[in-house]
Amino acid sequence: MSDLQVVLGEMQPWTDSTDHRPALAALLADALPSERRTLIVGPHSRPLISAVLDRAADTTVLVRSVSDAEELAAEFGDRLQVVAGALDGLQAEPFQVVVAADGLDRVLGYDSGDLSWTERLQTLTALAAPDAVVVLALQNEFSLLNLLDSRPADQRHGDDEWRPLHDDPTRPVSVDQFASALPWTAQLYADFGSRAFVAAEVAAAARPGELPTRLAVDALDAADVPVLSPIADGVDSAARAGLLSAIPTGWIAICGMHAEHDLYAQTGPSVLTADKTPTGWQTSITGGTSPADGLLFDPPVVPAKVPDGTSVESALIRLAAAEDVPAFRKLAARLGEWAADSPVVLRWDDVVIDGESFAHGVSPWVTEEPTDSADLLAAAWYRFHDRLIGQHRRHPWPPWMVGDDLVSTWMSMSGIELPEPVQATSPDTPPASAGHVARGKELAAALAGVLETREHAAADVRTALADAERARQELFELRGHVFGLERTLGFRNKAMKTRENRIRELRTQLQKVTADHNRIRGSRTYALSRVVFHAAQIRKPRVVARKVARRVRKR
Amino acid sequence: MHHHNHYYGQTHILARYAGLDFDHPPRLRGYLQHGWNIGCGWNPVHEFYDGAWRFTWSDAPRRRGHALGRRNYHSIGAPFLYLQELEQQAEPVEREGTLWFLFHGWEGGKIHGDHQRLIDEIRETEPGPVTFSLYYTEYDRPEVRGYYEDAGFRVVSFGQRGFSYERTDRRFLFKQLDELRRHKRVAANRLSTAIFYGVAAGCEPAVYGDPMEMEGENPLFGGQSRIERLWPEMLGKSIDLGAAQATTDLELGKPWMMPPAELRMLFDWRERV
Repeated sequence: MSDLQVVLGEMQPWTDSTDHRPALAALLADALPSERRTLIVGPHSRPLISAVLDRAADTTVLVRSVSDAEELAAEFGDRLQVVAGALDGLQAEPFQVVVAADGLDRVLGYDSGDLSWTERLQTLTALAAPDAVVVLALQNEFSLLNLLDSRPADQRHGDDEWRPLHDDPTRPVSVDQFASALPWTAQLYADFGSRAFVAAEVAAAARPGELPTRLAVDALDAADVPVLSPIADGVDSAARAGLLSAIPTGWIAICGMHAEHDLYAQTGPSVLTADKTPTGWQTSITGGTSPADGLLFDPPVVPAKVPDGTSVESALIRLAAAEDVPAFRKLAARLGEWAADSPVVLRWDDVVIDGESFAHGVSPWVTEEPTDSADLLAAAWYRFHDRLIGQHRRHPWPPWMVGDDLVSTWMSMSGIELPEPVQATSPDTPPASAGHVARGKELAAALAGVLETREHAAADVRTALADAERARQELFELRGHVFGLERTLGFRNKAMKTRENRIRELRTQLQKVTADHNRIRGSRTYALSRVVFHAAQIRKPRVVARKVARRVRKR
Repeated sequence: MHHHNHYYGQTHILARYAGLDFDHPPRLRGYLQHGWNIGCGWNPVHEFYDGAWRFTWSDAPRRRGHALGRRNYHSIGAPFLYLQELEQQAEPVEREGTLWFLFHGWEGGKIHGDHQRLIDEIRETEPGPVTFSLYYTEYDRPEVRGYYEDAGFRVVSFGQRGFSYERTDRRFLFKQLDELRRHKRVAANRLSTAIFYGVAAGCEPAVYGDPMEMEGENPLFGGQSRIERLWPEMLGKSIDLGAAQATTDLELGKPWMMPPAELRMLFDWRERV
């Protein structure tokens, strides 16, 4: 265990939490020079410190918590010089590398002076050599997550705000302000929930449905912040405006060096890196195959080149909102043909429209066992269904179709047969696609689980309100449906009465005709007419006369 | 749902297409457009029950209805198109003459106009024999029917569309399709459903002559002048067939047609137990 140095401003008892941020570790591994005297300022996770130690020559870490410092000293021993105290309490020779990847919000203690963000930056600058490589993070007060945070201001921050930090007027809140505030030339990365880092200029050029936007949505969806409305809508709007770099949760400035890739994103247990090319993205992904929640993380299936373009999901959502079912049907049919030999669990939000065809995105999730392509297709449609319906997006299908029927319908558009005709009065039979739909539902749920997205969290406020409104609307429509049924019954009843009256009329007419008939048959005129009728039919009158005379004689 | 859905046997046709009973089609959960118009698919004062779904032939009525504050639309294509699929011709018959449709009134409104002048114009225009189709409301008026019979036209009527599920001629559209397939041209004095049906059935269209007036006609949607602005390619004595077919496909909603199983799902024609 190294000697623990304590300087002015230390905190005890206190601890600062840290999370492992693999994408940031990968970014630092690319950005930091090797064999330099390095200072790590503020709380950083163990893996991140290890990543720095792997490259640095002589490393010091400054944390304000004495207990955190003791733990670090115990864990890293002589490899790491640990200092407990505040930033303004550290007196040291300038360092060749300064890493403040946690920013400057957790570098002062409760006994420290009330230093603004700019003053803290000046203090940090004093610890860096003139040609130092500096990595500095900054939380974005204008982040979409902040804007949509459903908690009021007095409930957003924890015990470390003994003085307000976030309303500091000297604090930069845009890419330009951040770059201007730095005394060094910097390469800036937009930090989306510490899960995806996108070079600021690349983020600014990203549009809805494109790779950086998709990864930003996934990253922010995984953040544990209660929000007012769906994150995806806001991210897409920002991307349309070319403002994706303006709304991340923070930024990372790399000063004095350049990181290698345009994009670093956490995916499963690994990190995906990507570089913009004229036609798309050159990707690479670390790590090996590993199972997770019924699926398999399989990096080799991620294509090395992903074309530029919007996602299929974006196109489908637009067509559904336009109620353009014919175009939706055509797209679904093309997807059905294309997806026949998919190696991954399909998700339309990670399939890119590539000219007249499609291309897989960067999802590395496959099934553990070989899976029927129809099941994979069902999984994609189920995921799309949940996102379309769950996010209350506009579409033209009636509520009684929502659920398995709608998924079956889309599958039929993709070439998977629907059930045979069944009389509405007969018991329903399971659709031919029911098995695929059920399996697709399982796969979609497994995928949502491994993606750690908000789909498992509580609904945002807007969605909750919309859910309630939808329930009210459903009640309203069901009442209308009951009214309609009653009216139909009324029409049918009227028709029945019409027929009943007609039958009554016919019966009355029949009775009258029968009575008339009986009356006629009982009359003398009728009897005489019968005699005449029979007499007219007698061909041999003499024979008949003899027979009649014989009978008369017998009597 | 609504007895209008049974007009001209449209629900019956859709039921048969969906593989269900033609004579006794299941109840359709919503309102089915029963004729082409320049509005939202229904007459301007049609009442809908709360939260009703409306099944239009094509997208344009949906858009217009949306602007009227109505929602819950789904376009499905005209049942006449489904009928064409069901009643495919084994061998096409040789077409001859013109099937001429007089803009018809309905049970609540009679038409008024100069029938003799119309006859003269038809004689001047049509190159072959003319079959004159009258809706039963005109067919049953000897003073109207007589004009056309006396002019030497063959006069036909396809029956009644029915009301309150009564007297619906389920084969109304069958008869109309059969006649259309026997004629080279289809014509009318207003752009109307029959013209689009005719074009769909392969006839050359023509729209000319006195459009006549109908009692109680509601000009809310813009009337004849709007038709002239929107569909000039469908008006005249000699019309470009290609343009007419393209417009017809859109107005009858050909791209919106769907497979039988999807139709069953959409109409809630599946019993759940």
